[in-house]
Amino acid sequence: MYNVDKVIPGILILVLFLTTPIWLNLTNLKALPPSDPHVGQARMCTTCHVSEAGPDEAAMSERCVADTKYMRGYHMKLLDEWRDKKIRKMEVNYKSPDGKIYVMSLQRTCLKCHNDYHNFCDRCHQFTGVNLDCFNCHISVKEEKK
Amino acid sequence: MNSRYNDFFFSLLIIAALILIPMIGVGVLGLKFLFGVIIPYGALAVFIIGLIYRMVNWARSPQPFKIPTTCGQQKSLPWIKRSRLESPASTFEVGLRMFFEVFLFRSLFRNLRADLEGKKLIYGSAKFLWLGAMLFHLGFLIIILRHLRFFVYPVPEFVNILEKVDGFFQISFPTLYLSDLLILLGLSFLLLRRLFDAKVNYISYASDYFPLLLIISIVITGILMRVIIKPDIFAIKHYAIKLATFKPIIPEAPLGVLFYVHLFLVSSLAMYFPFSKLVHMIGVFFSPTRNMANDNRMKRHVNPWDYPVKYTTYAEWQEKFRDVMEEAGMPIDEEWVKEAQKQT
Repeated sequence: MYNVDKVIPGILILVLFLTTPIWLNLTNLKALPPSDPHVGQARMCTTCHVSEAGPDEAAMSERCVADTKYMRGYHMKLLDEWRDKKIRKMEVNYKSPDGKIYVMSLQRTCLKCHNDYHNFCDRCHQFTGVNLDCFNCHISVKEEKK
Repeated sequence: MNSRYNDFFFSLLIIAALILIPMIGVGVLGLKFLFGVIIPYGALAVFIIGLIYRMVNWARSPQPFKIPTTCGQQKSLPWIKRSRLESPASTFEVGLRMFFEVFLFRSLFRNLRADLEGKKLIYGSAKFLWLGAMLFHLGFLIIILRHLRFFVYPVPEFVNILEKVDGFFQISFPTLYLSDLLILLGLSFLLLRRLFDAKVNYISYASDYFPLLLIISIVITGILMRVIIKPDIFAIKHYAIKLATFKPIIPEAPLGVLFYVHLFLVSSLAMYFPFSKLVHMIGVFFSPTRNMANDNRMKRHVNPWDYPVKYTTYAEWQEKFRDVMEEAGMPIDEEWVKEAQKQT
């Protein structure tokens, strides 16, 4: 092999670059939160999550604007829609697919039940590296109490 | 259909097969462990070992001649202005030229187009290839770095910053990443160029269309997952971290077939990478026309093929025939003999 003094460091740099996620994780393996977002979160939202076992899907879909599956994936779209309707079209009420009427308000509707910002919002967003700017303007319930 | 598009349709067919395989494998047969753990690990192994194999293979090839490509004044007399980048004279200058080539594609920036106007040959500037390549490559780099947010916890700060810059204009919701838009623009241009520019089309084969189409499919499935068909991102991150720390799990939450399609296409790209033209990522550093300094006149380049040649010096030859030479009255060069004795 020629130019060993340059080729070997080159190979090492390449392998180090390609395995970035592996060695970046090595330092903080223990800090990993549990895989099920509901573990230890039974009292995350006392209105819906009545049992220690986890969320009661039926109760949740009855209470929330939409069912859990939809909300998990698309809550940001719904909030965006609400924002546009309320601020740009001066609408106040939202009619959910099952015919119920809700006031379109993050603080007065959503945060009524989902009142634990740290465990409900921040937990997933921080874990998956999503930067949300809702609470740049809105006040989260916890802060309000202080 | 015109036959010059055959290679394009052939590539399209392979892409369709690559999309169908995980759709059937996961969607119908439920082989989540195969598509979620075995194939990604296998692909990573093939990718890394394949690249190292290529590098070692290149490094074992001798470079008999010093052949840097230059297009500037070589280093010579101190009062002659020289071009450090176009004719690098030292390893540092070679590194500098390589840096600009790798990050800014200087050689593509020099791209010209030639047109015949009547009998006149006219050269004009052609920057679109450079622009398309920049959009595609930089977009790809940013997207790969952004994906660290799925593999590392806590998310590194530079990834957060990159993400904020990438979504700076906050267009639509979830925020449109500029890199997603730009890579699609770049890829579309590079593909359309191969399809509709007759001169480029003539030299385009399946090995040119396939990587483009493969990367386009990866980008599209990624954007689809972000915007329309959203899998459970929390479960995906857990799965990805476990994969990165070699404790693979299959998440209980359904991830959706689209996720497995995305993963399988990326795995295919990784496996295809070391054995295709895509390996220019590494090859550029091993290119003798780029990695050699133009110092022919300062340092002697020894051909590594050179083997010790058996030869006879004049002194040895003279010793061998001394008697005959003296008999014939030929002059004997004693100086040569002394010189030879001194050296040995």
